[in-house]
Amino acid sequence: MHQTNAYAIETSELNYMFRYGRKVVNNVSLKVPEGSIFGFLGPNGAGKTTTIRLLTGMLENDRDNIFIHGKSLKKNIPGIFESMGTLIETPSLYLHLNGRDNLRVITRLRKMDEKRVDEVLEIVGLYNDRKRKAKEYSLGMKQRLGVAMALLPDPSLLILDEPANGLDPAGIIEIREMLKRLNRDHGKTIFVSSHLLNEVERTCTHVGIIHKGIMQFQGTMADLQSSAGHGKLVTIKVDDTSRWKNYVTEKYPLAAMSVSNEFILPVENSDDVTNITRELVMQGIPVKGVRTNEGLEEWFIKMTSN
Amino acid sequence: MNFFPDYIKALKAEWLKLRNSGMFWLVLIMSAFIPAIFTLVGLLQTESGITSVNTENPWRSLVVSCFQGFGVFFFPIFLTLVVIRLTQMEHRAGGWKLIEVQPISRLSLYLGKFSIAVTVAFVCIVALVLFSLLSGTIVMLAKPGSGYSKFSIPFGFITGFGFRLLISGLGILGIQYLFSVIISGFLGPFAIGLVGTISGTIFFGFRKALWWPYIAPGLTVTNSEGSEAGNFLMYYEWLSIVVMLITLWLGYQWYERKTFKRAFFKPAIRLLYIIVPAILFAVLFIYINKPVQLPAYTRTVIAGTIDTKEKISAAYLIAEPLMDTVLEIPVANNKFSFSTDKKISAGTYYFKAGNITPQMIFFGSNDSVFIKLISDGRSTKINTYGNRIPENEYIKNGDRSGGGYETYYLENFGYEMKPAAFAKEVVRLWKNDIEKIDNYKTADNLKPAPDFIALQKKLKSLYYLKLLDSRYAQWYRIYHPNEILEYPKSVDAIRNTASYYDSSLLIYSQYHDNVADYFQQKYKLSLSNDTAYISKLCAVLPAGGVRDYLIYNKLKDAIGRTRDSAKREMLLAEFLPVISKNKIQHQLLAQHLLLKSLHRGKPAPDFVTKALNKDTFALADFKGRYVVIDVWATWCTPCRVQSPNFERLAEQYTSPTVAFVALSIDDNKWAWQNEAAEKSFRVLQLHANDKNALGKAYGIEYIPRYILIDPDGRIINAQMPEPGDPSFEDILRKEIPGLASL
Repeated sequence: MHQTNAYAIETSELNYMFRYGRKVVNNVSLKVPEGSIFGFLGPNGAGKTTTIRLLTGMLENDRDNIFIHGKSLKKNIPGIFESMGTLIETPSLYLHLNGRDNLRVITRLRKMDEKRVDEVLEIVGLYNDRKRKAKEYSLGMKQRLGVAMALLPDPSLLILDEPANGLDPAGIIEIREMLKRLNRDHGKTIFVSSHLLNEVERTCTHVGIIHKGIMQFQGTMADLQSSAGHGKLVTIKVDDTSRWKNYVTEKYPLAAMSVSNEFILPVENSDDVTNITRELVMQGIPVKGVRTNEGLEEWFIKMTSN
Repeated sequence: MNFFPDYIKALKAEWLKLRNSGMFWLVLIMSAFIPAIFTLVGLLQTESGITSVNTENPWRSLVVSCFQGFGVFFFPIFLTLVVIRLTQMEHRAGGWKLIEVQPISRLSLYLGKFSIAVTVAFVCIVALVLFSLLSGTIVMLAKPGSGYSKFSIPFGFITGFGFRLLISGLGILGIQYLFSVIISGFLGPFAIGLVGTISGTIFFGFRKALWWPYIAPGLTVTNSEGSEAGNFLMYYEWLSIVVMLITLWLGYQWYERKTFKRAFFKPAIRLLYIIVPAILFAVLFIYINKPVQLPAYTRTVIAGTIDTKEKISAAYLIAEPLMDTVLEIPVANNKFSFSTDKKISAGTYYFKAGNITPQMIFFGSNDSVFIKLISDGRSTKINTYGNRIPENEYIKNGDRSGGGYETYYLENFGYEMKPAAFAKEVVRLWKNDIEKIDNYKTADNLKPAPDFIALQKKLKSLYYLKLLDSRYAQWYRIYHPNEILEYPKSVDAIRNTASYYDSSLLIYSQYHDNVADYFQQKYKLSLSNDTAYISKLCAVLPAGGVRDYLIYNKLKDAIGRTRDSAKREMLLAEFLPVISKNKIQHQLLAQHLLLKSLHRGKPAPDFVTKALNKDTFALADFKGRYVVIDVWATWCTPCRVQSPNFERLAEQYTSPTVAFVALSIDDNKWAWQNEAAEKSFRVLQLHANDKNALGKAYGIEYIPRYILIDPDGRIINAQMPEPGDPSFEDILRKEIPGLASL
């Protein structure tokens, strides 16, 4: 019946209702292209985890409307998990086992070579802590071990539920880079959920936004930006706004100042950003940082707040 | 489905998860705890030097006792903890979601984890066996004299026992696994396990609701021998397997779908997933729990082994009250296998072989039983197998019914009650007892055959009938001489069950003793006048077995008491014709003739004996001397009380014309030798070579017995008074010339 192979994950009108009758997932039709990093974005309680639980067969779904690599999930459990690596909510760890043994449990269940365990431990940076019990791990280490468990079978599709949860900034960047690398160098499709917009902005090629169980948007990042419309801003950080206030407000009457020594200016396009920055630097103003805020945030908040 | 490879993968993963899980310590503590205590006790305890035939292989009893408390309490708790630990790993790791997104079927995951739980239970049992054997070894090495060195370790028994214990734990594992998977917390399943176990110990104590799965290990441990009927497993072990299967099924259905609604109610067809197994379970439960009645055999066979030093050539089935030989069974090499066409009414008989104390067995036509009789001369043990297992077990364990305090109260203080109240209480207790008989079953769930149950009910009813008709009736006559005692209708149920005229019950002493009492009281039979007693009996009772027996009983007593041969003959002439059974007539006549043969002047029957120095003495060796014989045994207390009196006379009347002889009929020759060696040397200490022949020839029914024989080997007095009685000395002085002057 279902022919297309273009999508790593495809759902048609996915629904899920809890016992008390609230639809947590409401007609969600996901289309995750092969080779993409798909950011599944939504505030807490939007139905992200429930969707992921449905995608991994953790929740019973009466209809046969989930397809992984074009194959019916329902009909191919558990064989379909050969090509999937998952991290759902908090990582599933055996706290009494050390990091290495946690991974070895999976190698046994998948009848894999145990050499892969050390490789993955290196990837997530836990190799030196491999002999410590998981219960002694910090939150971030646990999260990394969870990611390692998803990575272990070298799956073509990774489904990660909030992988950056509990990580420090360095850890977040590490994970972000790792996902990009896996996608770029190994051609893996990554479905990653998050409630942080800029996290998705920085990592993903595609994005789906869910709110109250309903898909609000689905498409590439470029599509998202065009949907979000105009009214972009550039934020320029300087050493002391009061010092340069006169010059800047004279030159750019629409400029505003933030408490953290930033000027915020409306721009039309990225050329404007370049020009403004060059102008300020040439005036001898010590620009400490430039950040464009393309209005997505506001848009996202607006979209998900009603 | 490639279930099997998946299952192996799951097993391997589960095995890895046991690391650091504390399971090792749990097993270690559970298995080492009890043997450690036994080791301490074994080392501290001073060995008793007494061994008896009932002493089992100490290795075996050690293993069994190590398991005793374990099976009832520790094992169910242990299984609960094991399952909780195994499932908590997954619950804590976020509700099984890691292993469930692996390319492995959920069935193999589910069963893989369960199998690990079974494996851990198995390891624990093996460890407990090893620790208990280690304990025995330590005691053996520390105390070379202990029994352990004399026996080898019974590996066959241990294997079977351990295996059955594991089986009996499966039901608990299944139930706990079901709840531990569904309930994600620790407390819920633990509370279930604890409540199950503790209610189990209570049920176990009362021997009620023995199907309760948490009792199964306790029962296996208690009945460590396994099935007496030779079944592979006991019924509660089968039940344990069934409980495991049903709980695994239900648990898996839930596990696969995670809600009861989806597992069993939606779509509606899934209702079958719970209804069909429930029906199947109910059917199996009823089938397995139903007590089994062993069918009768097509022939009548009695076979067995007699483990004793004595060489035995024949065994006998003997019936009370006349001690008739019902069956003579040829024995070769102390083994027998005998089949007969003789009609034997099913009942309790004495099984007699050689000098072994006769043992009661239940037997009848179309029964096939195998008897294992073990005796070391001091204690005797009998086990009966075949189709009369429950009956014989019932007899062996004695009648455990009876209200204890309540019947004691009725028997002794019943006069305080009104007839209706007394009857009500009697009927209530009677009903309880009847119910107990109806519900009697062995550990193996075997139930006695209907004929046996009917017999036991009759006997039991008779007791209560006696309370009504003689005990209370007697009080009533005294306190209410002018009123007629009337009981409510409810007592008719007892009357209809019991009968005072059932001659088939005469083989039971409970019956014939009661019957004698009853008629004596009912018809106010004279106890002092034999003739009046028997005449009255003949007048009031219809001819038949019961009347025959009562007359026989009285006549036998009268004949034994009557020294005058002519008087005895008169009694016999008058009452023998009243007795319908030839056998009884013959027995009474024989008794009379025996007494006659022991009259003064008759030749004394010969006997052969051995002295302490192993010399043989026959009666003929005393020719030319008067012989005063004291027939005794070391175990007979009255004999030992009289013994010094006998010796005093022997010392006082030392004379070449008189021989004082103490003739022992002990079975235990050592006991005799030790005691006889201490006695006065004026008395010649002899031991009868054949006590049965001696007893028969002299009509010895009880000891001590004193016999005086003249120098020509003729009887002077075959029933002398006791030597403490002055008349004993008088007889000696009168009968033996020259003694008076000493």
